[in-house]
Amino acid sequence: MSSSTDSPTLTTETTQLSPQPDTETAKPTKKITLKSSDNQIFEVEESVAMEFATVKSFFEDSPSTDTVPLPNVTAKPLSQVIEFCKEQIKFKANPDEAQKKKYNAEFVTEKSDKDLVDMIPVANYLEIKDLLDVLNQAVADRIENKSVEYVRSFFGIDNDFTAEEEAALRREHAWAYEGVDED
Amino acid sequence: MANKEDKARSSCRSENIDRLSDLPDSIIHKILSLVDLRCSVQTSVLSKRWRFLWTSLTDLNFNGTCMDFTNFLTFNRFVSRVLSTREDSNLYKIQLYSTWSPHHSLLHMVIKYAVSHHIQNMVINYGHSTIRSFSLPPAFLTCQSLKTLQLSGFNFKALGFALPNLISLSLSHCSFTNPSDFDDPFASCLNLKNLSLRTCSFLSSKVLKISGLQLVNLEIVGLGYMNLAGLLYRIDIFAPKLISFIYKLSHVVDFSGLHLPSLNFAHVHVCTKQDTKKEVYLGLINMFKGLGNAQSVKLHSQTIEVLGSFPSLLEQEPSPFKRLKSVQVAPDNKPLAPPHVMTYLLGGTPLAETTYADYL
Repeated sequence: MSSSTDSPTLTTETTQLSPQPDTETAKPTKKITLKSSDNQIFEVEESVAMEFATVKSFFEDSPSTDTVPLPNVTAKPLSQVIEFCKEQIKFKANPDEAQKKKYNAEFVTEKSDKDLVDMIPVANYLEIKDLLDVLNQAVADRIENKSVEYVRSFFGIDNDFTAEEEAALRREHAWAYEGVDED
Repeated sequence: MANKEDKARSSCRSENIDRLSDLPDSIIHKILSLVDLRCSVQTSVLSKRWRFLWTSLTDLNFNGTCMDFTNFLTFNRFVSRVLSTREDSNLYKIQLYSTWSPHHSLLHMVIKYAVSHHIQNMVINYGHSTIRSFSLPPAFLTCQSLKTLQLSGFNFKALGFALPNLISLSLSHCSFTNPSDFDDPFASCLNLKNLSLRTCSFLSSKVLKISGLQLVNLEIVGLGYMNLAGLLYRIDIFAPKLISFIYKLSHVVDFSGLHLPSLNFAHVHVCTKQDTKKEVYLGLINMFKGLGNAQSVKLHSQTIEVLGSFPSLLEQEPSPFKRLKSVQVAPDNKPLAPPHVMTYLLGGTPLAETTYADYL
């Protein structure tokens, strides 16, 4: 509301032909372009893009643009997040809790560990709460009762402790280690 | 922060980039609160970033039900070490599940810690063990911060609950042994909206009163199983805002004192012995009078059977329902409800829809 539509932005040239608000409603499927940090272009329907709170507020601030740069997001997790949101839109139009649950479960089951973990920062950055909840639970399920080494490689964490420091820490927390699966 | 730069450089090269550690604590806390607490504590070894992350968790899930703890001592030690090691901040939720028989000293410690850290949500469930001899401390039963509470296996003596901000209370396998004839244990929970009583017993009271000025949902399941045989006691419910009342797998008791003017939904599944006694039938008729405002009713076939057991009496009974829109009966493998029962149910509202379902 507050921001002026005539303030020049980087994408002004491409948005000169942006439709007037009233013609916009007449157009059933307005496309919005998302640009990942590795310069891939994603064309998504406006309704899908509006699922991303971050993109939504970007548009509220500068309504004349139609390319949204996402400097923190790479192409692969972004495409998966878009896939998820497209389905959620369908459930919004046609609520079916059982089907939604089933879809969400399948969505995470078929993803690799790395894909899941990579989507979390994206869901967080784009503020997609439903997806974040689904991912958090899926990740929690996969690391439940696993060894420290497993969890470290699962998340891709660099161990910056020295061997002595780590041993001391384990001794200090000995009360938290007993009977853990080493797989 | 040379360390951070090194890390950034090395992770650019490596295939596995650590994106999670850069996230705000709150996101990592979400994940940690979904795994077993022992697993969370162990994350302190992952890296320096993770060293103290778990200590600011506000959602503690103590799970002594898995086979992970070799005996109750290791479990008790674990719980007390977590509480003494975590940072001294307020708590959102504690869940204490265990299949080891409960230790009073541990319970006292956890409860005292929870109250002093302004606990908002609490679950204590020791599986099938009962904790009859343990008295919940008055400081807990009057705790100002509690919003939801789930307890299993406890015994409540003289005092009821006086939790002014409690919204949801769920009790299972609990007993009330108030020596007086009359008990109104929830009246002082002035904001209580949801109350669930599962296989609870009210051993000595002749009259149990459930007063809830703000009560919206009430569920009573398995009432009567733990009672002395043949003891028909009375339950009065004063709940002007109650919308949903579920009464399942329970014996018929004296329900002559129901005040449920806002009731919308009622679900009744009563259990009886083979020979339905007249007093059970009369008790159920009395109960239905109290449910007269319901718009939607779900009835188990057993309830229909009791209603239909004295046809000549039922035919003289006016229909209790004034606003009924739908009746659902289940399971549907039983014969359809007899006509005199349907007349009784739908007499006041002939347009109400009747459906049969596989289960309720």
